[in-house]
Amino acid sequence: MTGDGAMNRRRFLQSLAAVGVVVACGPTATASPTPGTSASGSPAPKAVSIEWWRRNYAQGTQSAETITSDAAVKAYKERASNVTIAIQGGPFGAETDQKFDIAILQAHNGPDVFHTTGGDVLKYAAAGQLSPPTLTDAERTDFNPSALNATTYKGAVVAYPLWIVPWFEYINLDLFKEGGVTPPANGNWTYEDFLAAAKKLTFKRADGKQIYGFAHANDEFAFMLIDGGRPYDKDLKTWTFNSADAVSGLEKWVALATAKVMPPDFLTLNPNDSQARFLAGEVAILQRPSAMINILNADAKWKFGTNWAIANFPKAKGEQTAWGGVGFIAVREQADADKKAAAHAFAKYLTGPDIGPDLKKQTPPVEYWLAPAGRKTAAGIYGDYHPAKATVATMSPFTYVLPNVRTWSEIDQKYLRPARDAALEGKKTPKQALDEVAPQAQKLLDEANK
Amino acid sequence: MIATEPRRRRSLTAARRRYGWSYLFILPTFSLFVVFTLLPVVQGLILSFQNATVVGGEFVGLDNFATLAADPVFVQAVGNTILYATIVVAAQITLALVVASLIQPLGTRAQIFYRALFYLPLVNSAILVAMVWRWIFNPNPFGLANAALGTVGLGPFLWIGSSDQALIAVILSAVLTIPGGGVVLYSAAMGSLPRDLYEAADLDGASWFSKWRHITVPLLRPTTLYLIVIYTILAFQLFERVYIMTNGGGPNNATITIVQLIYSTAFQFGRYGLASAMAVVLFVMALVVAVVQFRSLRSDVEY
Amino acid sequence: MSNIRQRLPVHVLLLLAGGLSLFPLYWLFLTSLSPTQYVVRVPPEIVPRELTTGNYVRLFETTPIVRWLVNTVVIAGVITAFHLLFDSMAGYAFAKRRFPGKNVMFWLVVSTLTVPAQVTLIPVFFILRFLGLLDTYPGVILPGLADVFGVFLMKQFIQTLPTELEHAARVDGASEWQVYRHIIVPLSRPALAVLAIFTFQRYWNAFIFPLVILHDPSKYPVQVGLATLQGEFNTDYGMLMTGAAVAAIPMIAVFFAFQRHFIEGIRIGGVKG
Repeated sequence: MTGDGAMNRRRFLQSLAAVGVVVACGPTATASPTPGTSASGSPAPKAVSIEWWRRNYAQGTQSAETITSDAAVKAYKERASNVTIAIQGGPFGAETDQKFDIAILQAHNGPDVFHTTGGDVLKYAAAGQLSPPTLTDAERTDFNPSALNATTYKGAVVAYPLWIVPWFEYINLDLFKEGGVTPPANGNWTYEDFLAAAKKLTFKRADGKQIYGFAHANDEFAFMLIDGGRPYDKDLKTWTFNSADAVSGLEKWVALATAKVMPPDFLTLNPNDSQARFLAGEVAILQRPSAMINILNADAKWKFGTNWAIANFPKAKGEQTAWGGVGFIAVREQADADKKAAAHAFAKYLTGPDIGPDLKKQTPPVEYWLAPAGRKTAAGIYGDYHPAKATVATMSPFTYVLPNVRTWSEIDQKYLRPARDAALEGKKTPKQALDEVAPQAQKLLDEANK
Repeated sequence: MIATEPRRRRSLTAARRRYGWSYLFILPTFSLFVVFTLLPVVQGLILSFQNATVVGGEFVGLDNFATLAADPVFVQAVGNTILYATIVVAAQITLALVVASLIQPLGTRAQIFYRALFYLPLVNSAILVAMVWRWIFNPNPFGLANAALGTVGLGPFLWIGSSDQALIAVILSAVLTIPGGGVVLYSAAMGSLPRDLYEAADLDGASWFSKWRHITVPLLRPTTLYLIVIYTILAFQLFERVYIMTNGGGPNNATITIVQLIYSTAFQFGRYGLASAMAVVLFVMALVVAVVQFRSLRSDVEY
Repeated sequence: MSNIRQRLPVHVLLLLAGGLSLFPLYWLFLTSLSPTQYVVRVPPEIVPRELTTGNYVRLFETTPIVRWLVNTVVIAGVITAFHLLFDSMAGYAFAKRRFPGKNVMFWLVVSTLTVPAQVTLIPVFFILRFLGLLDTYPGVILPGLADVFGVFLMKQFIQTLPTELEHAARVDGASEWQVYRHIIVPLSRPALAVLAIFTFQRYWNAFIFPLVILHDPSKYPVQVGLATLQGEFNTDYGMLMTGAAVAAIPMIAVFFAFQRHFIEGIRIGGVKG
């Protein structure tokens, strides 16, 4: 970016400032014009320090979150040297979520900028703890529209979509060959083809090992969307997950269970388990999000294109969409205007098109994007990391992110999941199961809209 | 001590001095208890009468409790918890007592070996133990339980993969582990039992079973009371084992427990008032049971 | 009375029962010594095919496990030490002494044992914040000292001690503190040993309170640290199990250190030989 001389001088000035020496040379800190800096760039920015809370950041370990976060802070320092960022973390899990909640919701204190997921972002917004981003029109159209929608509370966008995690099918090419099934051309297939393939790919080998055609984890419900079913109507006021389309979607899902193409413990598979099954070569088709690519790449046995490939979610009556979850970067509402502005600027950087290239240039290069970015202009670099990711990167623009309501977590865990379980176990018909929970779901939806 | 003082004043002074020491002895524990346990519990109690959520709350009287009574998921959780506690506590007390009794007459080296053998499993983090039980009760034919049963021709069971069997799997995972804490505690208590009672019984020609039943077991009542109360409380607080073995509430909420609901209601759904009400229900249940246990196992045993 | 042949069925029974209980621990150590690709092997293997110390090397090189262990030793150790003192004092008072309000206090204490940690978590957090103890070691230690199961345990044990010993000591001119220190404590050695073992283990495995109270990762105890090895997108089971195996070792040491007191506890009226 700048010549070595300017860099050293800037560093020298920084270190003087750090020991409290007053530098009388005036506004020299931003000698170099840095392209793409945030809107808060003023000629003589004063020193600000902000706190960034990042789940699964654990100083001293080698987790992906730790490495990318440290690298991001390092890169941002070069762009906005007046900002000092301290990172706080916690192991990924509900306990750390509580820690975040206690700080943000109860103590009204804590991070200036932080990661959050779809389920939580509206919770914080409802408590008035989020400072809405100010986006230019260009920026607004750059974001995936359904992602923005998922972080809209009472009409205003309350956080920056970071990345969209699309879900799709991973297929074991060796098993496909063994079962005599042709992988779908261009990754597209209908539900009927998919079901037929799964059936054909469920077989017992001569040595007694049982192979299953399909597996998924218990944290999703993609099949209910397959015929166009949606949890709510466009205004998010009416619960529609017991519509005819949703019921027929669930019936298609139950058909998989009835055909016994899934392992017998399919109701209890958590994400790690389902991935382990695929890695062990026990399952021919696995439905998981993009992070599975990293797991496959880490194992020398798995080569993209040779023994594994990516296929789209099967198509039925609904429009073909990838669907996915989304992560956000949120800025906390607080009185300190400088910190808030700095937090917004940093949040824009973390979700913007510059950070990917910046981190790629570091030594050693760091792959910042753990999933395709929420912004079109930032999404491209994800594809550069690996050919499998290139395929996935093309999915994110049309990935449909389910809209969000504050009480979604409760609806999902208390009502939707048991209904799904009951139908998949054959204890209730899909229509029965979904109709039974519709009134309670509607009640919770009403509460979210109050 | 001072024989010249008038009798009444001496006993008063001595009494005051003795009470003073009593309070002093309990002061450290009790003051910490008040600050870090009692106050939070009282706060929780107050919350249970409010509909506190992340956006604030107000007094609603017994509404929360009415909601719980009408909630089939909560009722199921209570049922699961009671069933689990009844079976598991009985099993744990019995196993601990029997194992400790078997170890007691052995030689010193054997005693050390066995105590260690039964205690060591406890050093494992509960989370990892739960993961192993998850593997044991895996529904696939290669799940360890299914594999073992398969060798004698018993068909593969669905265990944690079925809403009918999941709770049974959880109960079995508790019952099939010898409770090392109980073994250790009973061992320590047994080591303190006086020999003379046993010698007298030997002179009368009592069998080992008779001695065990009529001397050992009654003398161990204080320890039994402690264990039965603690094990019941732990059973009522069942959460992590289930959370890991069955991914939360299990298929169709089959293994949902009260503490699990408290956890998700408070920290995932943000309903602190309702969660506190659940905690109050749990508290009352456990207290009632504890009172009954204290009454039945009360003893003024000294030896 | 140690005729091996007579005792054989007993030994067999005990070994079988103990073996089953020990299985998870065996599995833990086995996994920690297995190469990573076999960790999530399906189906899982009981008899190891290949052993390696690679996980241990990786654990010590890429995580601050030593720091985590030191933190935990400090936290659990301090809590245990104070519990030994406070709980025996309070247990003695509840067991042997009469004073107004004793029953009420005891029931108050025991009944709150039923309240799960999730309920007291948030109020305790705010109390600590008020006291300015967030993100400090005392902030983790003090709530641990408010834990009352030890009082209950000591009370049950001390109440079985013969009262005439105390009376005799008082008649001889011992002060109240001396009665406690020289009569009650030595006789309670087995119970104190058990208390030490239980307390140390409970706080060695503490997770949720330290996680919420501590912010500085250099203060993390070992269970919190190990949890960071579980990723959002992937979990390194090999390292996780290895970390747990390493974490289990100090507790095993504490057990062996204290358990000899069970046998050495000398009792007036009977010595177990």
